[in-house]
Amino acid sequence: MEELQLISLIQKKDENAFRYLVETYNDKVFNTVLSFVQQVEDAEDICQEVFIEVYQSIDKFKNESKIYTWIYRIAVSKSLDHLKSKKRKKRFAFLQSLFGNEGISLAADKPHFDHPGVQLENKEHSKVLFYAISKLPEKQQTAFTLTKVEGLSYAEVSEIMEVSVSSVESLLFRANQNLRTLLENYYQKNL
Amino acid sequence: MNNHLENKIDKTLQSIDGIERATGNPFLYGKIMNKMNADRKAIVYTGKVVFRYAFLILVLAGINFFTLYKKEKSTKEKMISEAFASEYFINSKTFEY
Repeated sequence: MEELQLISLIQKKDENAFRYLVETYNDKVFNTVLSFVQQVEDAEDICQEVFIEVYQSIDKFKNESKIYTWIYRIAVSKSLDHLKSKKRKKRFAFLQSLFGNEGISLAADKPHFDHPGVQLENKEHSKVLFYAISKLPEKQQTAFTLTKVEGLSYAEVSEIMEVSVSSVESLLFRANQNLRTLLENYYQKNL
Repeated sequence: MNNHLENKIDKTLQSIDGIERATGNPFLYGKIMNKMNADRKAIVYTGKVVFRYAFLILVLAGINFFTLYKKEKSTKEKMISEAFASEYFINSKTFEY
């Protein structure tokens, strides 16, 4: 289906068109969100929110970019919001634990995420890598995830992040440097 | 940094090379439609409840204003009749013979 035709139909609340959109972009959105939040249940909930937002905001879509760019942007934004919310809850739980509230348990901060798309022989190393990716600054994490995990080109990432291609390159360079540092510190403590 | 550590870091960074895309929930579309329908029903229900409370408040306010108005009116009438009585030395409650 042509993109303009698809958008026009969804704007008229055509359910078949919306179903087509969901089925076309489901895996892309899920893979992106999962790589950020690193929990399958959370990723599925956020995917729902992404497509609901697309459906409810389709009238605001101005055709200035491709629809997939817009969908990825919403997915990244909702993923980052979820991570911020999780960090706030962790901080609150920590404060509660200081006041002796034994009922609150702090999840251990260690590598745990097993991405289903990673080859078997790389599983253990990839857990450590995803743990390190989660420690990167937001923009570096976004650029790295969209290129290395989602497999998008620098041009596509620059459209999604609304920055230049050279900014994406710079973000990836810094992400790699930071990942090396994080991994070095991790392995020095855990070898 | 020693060679062993360097190799481990390189291996870790390369661990997601060739990564395949994770597959989303095949029932996602159904879940989305269920959620949107449930949200729509919640909005309609909330709207009805808010409307009922707003109507009740308006009715109570209306009764209060009406009561105050009536009281104000009867107070004024009483003041006028007392002023008239005192002007003509008539005490409305006692009669002197």
